[in-house]
Amino acid sequence: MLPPETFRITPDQAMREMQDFGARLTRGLQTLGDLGEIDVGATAKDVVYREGKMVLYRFRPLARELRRVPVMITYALVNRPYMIDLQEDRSLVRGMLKGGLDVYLIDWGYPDGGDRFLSLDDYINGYMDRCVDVIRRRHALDKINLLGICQGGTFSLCYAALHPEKVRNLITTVTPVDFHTPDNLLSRWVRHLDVDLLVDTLGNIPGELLNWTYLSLKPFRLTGQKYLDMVDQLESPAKAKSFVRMEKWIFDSPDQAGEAFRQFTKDFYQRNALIKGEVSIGGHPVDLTRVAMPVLNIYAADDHLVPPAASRVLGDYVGTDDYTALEFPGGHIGLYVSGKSQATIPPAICRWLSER
Amino acid sequence: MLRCNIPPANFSPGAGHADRTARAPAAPFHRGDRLVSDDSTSPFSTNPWLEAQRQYLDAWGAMWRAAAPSAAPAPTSPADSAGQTWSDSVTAWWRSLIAPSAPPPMQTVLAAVLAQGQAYLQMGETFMRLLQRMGRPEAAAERWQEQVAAYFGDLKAGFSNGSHGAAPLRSLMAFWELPLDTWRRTVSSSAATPGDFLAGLKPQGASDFTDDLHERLGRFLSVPALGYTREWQERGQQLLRLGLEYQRAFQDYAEVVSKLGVDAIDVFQRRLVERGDAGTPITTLREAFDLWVDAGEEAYAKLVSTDEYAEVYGTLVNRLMALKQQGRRMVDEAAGGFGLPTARDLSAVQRRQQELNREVAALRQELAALRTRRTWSQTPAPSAGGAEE
Repeated sequence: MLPPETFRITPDQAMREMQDFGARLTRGLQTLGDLGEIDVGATAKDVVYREGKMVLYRFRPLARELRRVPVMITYALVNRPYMIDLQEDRSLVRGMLKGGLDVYLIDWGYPDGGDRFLSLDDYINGYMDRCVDVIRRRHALDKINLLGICQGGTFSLCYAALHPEKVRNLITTVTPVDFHTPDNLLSRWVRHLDVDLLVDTLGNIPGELLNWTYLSLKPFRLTGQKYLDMVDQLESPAKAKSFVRMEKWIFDSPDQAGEAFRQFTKDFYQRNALIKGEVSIGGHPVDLTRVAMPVLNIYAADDHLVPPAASRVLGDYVGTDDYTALEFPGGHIGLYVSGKSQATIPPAICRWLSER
Repeated sequence: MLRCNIPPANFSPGAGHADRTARAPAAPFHRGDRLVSDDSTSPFSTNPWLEAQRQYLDAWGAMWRAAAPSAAPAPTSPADSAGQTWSDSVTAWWRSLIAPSAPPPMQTVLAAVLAQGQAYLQMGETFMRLLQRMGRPEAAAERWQEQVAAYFGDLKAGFSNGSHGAAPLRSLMAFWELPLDTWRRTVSSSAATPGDFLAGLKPQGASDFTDDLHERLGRFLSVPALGYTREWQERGQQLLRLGLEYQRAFQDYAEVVSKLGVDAIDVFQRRLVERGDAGTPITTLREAFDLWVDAGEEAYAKLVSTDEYAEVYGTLVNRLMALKQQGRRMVDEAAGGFGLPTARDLSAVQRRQQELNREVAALRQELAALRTRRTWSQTPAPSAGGAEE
């Protein structure tokens, strides 16, 4: 039974609320209409290496003294890497640069039909390995630091297992390791998919299809409520710009190279083969016990894409004695762009590296 | 008849508004990079619009206050001659005035904000009706229960049979139209029939008709192919068979998803009861909206984490891919017959190109290693697989 006191809204009040909302919506839409072009990527960077559509950037240092061993950031194949340098006050990269790190970033670009047969071997033992070699040569070092983001974290983990002699420290962020935790909706959804049929039919997997899949994890919030929440903030052009930048990033989705998608989905999502020691990249088995370098594993407590349980187990599988886990109280994207993360994540990374 | 100065939904500057267009600049939407909307003398100023909204809601408020609380039927939001409500008009006005002048990347954001704004306002209008139906705050508890039960009953019925009564809440769930719509569009590009020719059928009650149709078509498609063109005919029959299988998968998916609306209303009611019992009443429309979102997410999460959902979703994608692949095979065969390059040819070239890329990268890397070994101490190393800059 619904108690009569459940609603304490008078019709007059509801009317005023609607009127007020209509006025704010009107003014907010006007602000949006006036914003003009939206820029992304706040920090200056230079191209140091390119191959096909892949580009390796080096960010221009912001500290007087640089640490000797640089960090190479590997981003996921989905969405674009400018999320970690969205704007000046929301930039993981900027925080790391200010902490004295020398930061490189792999940008995978936008695969087209000609990239359909790019495999995980091409990405990990090809592009990544050659980028690592370029950085090693530039700095005359045997080993460098790796930082992987989401799927890029899984790539970095595989790379560290395959080429441990080139990795000094490994940092994984919101990285899926166990793909079959009960709360992993993505893995549940793809379990009945005939991935071979999908890739053989479509070739590359359209970015829009993946985008829809991610939004459909929490459709009411991600396609509805958040826009209403923003109406309250749209009267400020600066806040409106931040919002639109995030929107631009969310819907900037490259297509996925078919062969890489096939292997990643079948081996990792469907078979959960990484933690079983059954993944093989280019004919080389990925043995996580070979990850013997120091590992920092950062995950987000409220991550709806990569549930924390999927990342948290990393310590059980790697072969290092120096394993650190850091739980961030936020979501998958919030770990990089929220105000809270700016004050905690880059300093934690810098501190952890400086101790090693 | 309620009268107010709200611009009609199809209002567009310069069309049928002589007194306004007389003052309108020739190029109306932009002055430099600024939208001309903050100038009160401009026909595109937002001030008259805000005033129109205020007048409209005031008039509506006066109308429902005048209605007898218990006997008279609740006044609904007045509609214009085209049958559109206030929230429809707000959206249409902004679409016609602001959206076309915004830069293309902003169009998507504007559309999303507008759609949700409209959904929220529509929900507000629905709640106004509920509040009116329940009468004054001093109305008896029995009447309250009766009205609330009737309200939720109407909503559920609307969700079940797709009637107009559920439109306001249905619009909050517009996302659910998206996957089905996406499938229809995808299918359009590969099937012989435009779009999904059975999509208009409601899931409930449709299966009797479609099962019968499928059975008849199945019998027709099992007729053996004969004669000179039999191979082509068999492939055509296979395409149609796959089309029918896809149709069944689509209906199964739509049926599973269609339960969501009713489930969400059940969760919404339960959460309302919890709030009432806990002595934390709903005090604003926005709170009611947020509670509805929470209810939707809860019902949705429960649905999509079931094996049943994963299976119907997987089957839907697999059947669609099988259909598309068969269509592509037939197109390829026809193109090959005319001596044109086929998708299979292109795929072979792409595969070979990737193999060559790997060989070139390996050779470059080997060359770079050899050079580096020779000149390690004197000069910086040249590039490996690609180009260092």
